[in-house]
Amino acid sequence: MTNQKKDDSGRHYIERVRQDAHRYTHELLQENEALRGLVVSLEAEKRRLMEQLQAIREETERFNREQADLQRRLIEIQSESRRFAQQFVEVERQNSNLANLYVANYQLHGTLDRERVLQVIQEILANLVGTEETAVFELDEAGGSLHLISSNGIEPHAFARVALGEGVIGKVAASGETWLAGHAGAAGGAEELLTACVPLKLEDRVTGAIAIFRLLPQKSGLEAGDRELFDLLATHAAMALYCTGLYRRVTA
Amino acid sequence: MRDGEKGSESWKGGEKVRKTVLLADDSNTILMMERMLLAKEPYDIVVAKDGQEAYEKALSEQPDLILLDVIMPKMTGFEVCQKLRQLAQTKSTPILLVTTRGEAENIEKGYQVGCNDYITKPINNVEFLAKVRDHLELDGKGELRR
Repeated sequence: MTNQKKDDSGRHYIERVRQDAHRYTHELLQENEALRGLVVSLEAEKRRLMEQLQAIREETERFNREQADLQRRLIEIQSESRRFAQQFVEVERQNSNLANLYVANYQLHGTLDRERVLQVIQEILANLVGTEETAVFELDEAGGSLHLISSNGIEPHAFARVALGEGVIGKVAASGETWLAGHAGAAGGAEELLTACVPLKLEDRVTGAIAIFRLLPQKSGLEAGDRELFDLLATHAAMALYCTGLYRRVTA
Repeated sequence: MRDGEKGSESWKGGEKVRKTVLLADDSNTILMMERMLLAKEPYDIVVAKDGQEAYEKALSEQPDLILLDVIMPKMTGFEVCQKLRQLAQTKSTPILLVTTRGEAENIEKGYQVGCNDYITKPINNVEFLAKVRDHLELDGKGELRR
């Protein structure tokens, strides 16, 4: 091979390498351009996703706030609902007490017959208070002792006459103050089972007493409404009995 | 055709809408209390003052619910309940016994003679109305249950 041929071959080789390098560089540039475009689109996508994420975060925070607000309102509503339920129970209790008082008053003043008034007193005690054993006493005209005028469930002979100031019943008639078991001293002897004793009063003058011994088995104890009923009985039972006496004298 | 038989308000399309409740008790106090409690409810009230009258009115008035006192003159609530259970027209009428005797043996006897429920005195208003409504198949608003 001559030197000239060697030179031509070398030039061709160099030219081919140059062309290959040029083509390769061109391909790399194209690829680079494509990748740059891809990066741009990915960054745009990333921005879009970040914005979506931010929007979701904001939405989540809003939902969390709303949820907290709803929970707070739910607690308020539940508390209000409990308050209404308590008020409803209290109103029902007061309605019940008022109904008892109305019925008792109406029945006591619905007759001028003494036996009927005594029967009504016993009915009120048994049906509205829930008593099993009761006694109604009247003060003698001389004012020295109480005598039994009506009873239910007790042995009448044991309480036929009670001296004023003697035992709980006598003391209630002397003082004019209602006695409730567990509130003011203990009763003993024949009065051992006494649950309450209510004076019968015309204004401030005591005319008798109602003694309540055993309550019905299903009645666990006296309630606030029972005490209101006792207050009503103290005056209205006395008044009803007094009216029967007046009527008897007028019609005699 | 039953429309108008007991007033147009009581019957609708052959079906009774306004219910009738029979109250039987020899105590005026309890009758008045029960009437007061039921006054605000959409019921027609029929009253009997002894067992015999309760039995007769149960047959003549055909009430939807009967409230019977246990201790009554002429016939006890137990006896009335037992007799009514033997008749086709009152066999399934709800009967509630209302009594001061809340002991287990009395309650058991009540169920043995065919009562549906028991209410003890002194009457608890809320319990009383709930049992009456329940046995009349009304909801808490006095509407007929669907």
